[in-house]
Amino acid sequence: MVAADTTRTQYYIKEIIKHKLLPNYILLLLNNDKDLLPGQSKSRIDNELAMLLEKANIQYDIAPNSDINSSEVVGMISNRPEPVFIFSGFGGVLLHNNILEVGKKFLHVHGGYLPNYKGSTTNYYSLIEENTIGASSIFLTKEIDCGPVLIRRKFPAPKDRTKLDHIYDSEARSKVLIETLNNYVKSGSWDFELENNLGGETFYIIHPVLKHLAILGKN
Amino acid sequence: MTGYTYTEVNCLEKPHKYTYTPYLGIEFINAYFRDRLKNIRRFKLQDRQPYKHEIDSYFYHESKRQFEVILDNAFCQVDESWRSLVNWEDLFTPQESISTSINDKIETITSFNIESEINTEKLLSSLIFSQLNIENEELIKEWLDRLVQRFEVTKKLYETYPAGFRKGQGIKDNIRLYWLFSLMLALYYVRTTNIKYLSALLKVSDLLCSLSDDILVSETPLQGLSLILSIEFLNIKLLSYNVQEAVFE
Repeated sequence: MVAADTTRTQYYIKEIIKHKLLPNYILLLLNNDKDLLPGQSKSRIDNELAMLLEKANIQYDIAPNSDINSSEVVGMISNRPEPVFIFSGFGGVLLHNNILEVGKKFLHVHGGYLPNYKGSTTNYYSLIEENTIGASSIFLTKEIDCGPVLIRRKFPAPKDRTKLDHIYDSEARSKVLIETLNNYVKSGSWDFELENNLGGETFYIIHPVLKHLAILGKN
Repeated sequence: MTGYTYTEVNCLEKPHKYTYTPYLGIEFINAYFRDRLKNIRRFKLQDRQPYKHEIDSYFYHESKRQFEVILDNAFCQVDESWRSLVNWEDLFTPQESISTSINDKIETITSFNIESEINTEKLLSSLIFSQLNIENEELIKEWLDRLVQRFEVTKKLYETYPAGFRKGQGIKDNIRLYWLFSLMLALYYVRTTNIKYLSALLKVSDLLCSLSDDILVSETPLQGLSLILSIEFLNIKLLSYNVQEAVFE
């Protein structure tokens, strides 16, 4: 697993530990700056994540920098024996060709129901359009959110929509991640619900007026 | 009182990224309504400005007609007095006759090729014309999506886009492009109700509202801006009927 220090990663690791689906190894990307990076609700100087991993006896390294596309991080991933990495990066970070071409698969859970909701902040859009949020597990490809879909699920609108970014979105993605990993454990192979993830709609960061209407919407 | 800050500074010079915007409660929606009404009034005050481009008169006239039919239909269940929300009847109606040769001045949407350089103004005019005449729907979406992608990434529209439609070239402060783009987005949204295009429209409107009159007046029909802002305002009103315990001013 390659994991940035975000609330989503916290959710993932807690769920993975709870369901006894421990990864061989985790490469942690920490934010050394004082400013928060997208996906962080607070900085964790004391490093809660590392403590969590140590407690669960999961092998990990801390990357020399927070940029997954940097040559140092790419090198570390390239040198690992694991063929598949769960990816949980900082918000908005895209994987460049240099890392996508190291011969590993990157399992990512997108916050949105694919292929209908590709792109950014899609759960706010789906709240307005159909009062649901979604999550879909995919293997990353060069085209954003277009990799083959392993599992996709819709969830009802959360009761407190103000906590979508840091709680409910992470919760929905964690559920899909666990289901995806459980399926792999059962079958021994990566099976796809939707191999041809073409079409759909690509969304961009939602305007704040619409974000407010999504949060204030009736359940 | 919560303010609407997205139109305060010139968005061409200092574009907003709109990332991780804070939640400010229902008061933020009221602040948005107040800000847009202020700008609708601002543009209406000058709406007898002559059209610099004849095509704008045609676009305005035809768009207003289409918007009115669609809004009548959309509001009939929730608020039949929707016209009063933005003083719709006060919106300017052009008196001059519309040239019947307008067709000849616009390139057909099928003439644009992704492998060739694209003139953005010609593309936008063609898209609006096709949209008004409801033809080539697939091509309309294809080209509109390319423009939306470019605008969302850079918050700018460039004079031309080279083959492949990636990094724009030429000037990026031709205000007329932003007016045509906002009209195209408004037309497309009211017909499809795809929120993606309303989100883009809100961002272009923020940009236009953030500009001073002297920047706007040379290339943009201000009556057109009143119309676009009114359409955007009314569509946000429509969506706000689904908000819990709404107490709008």
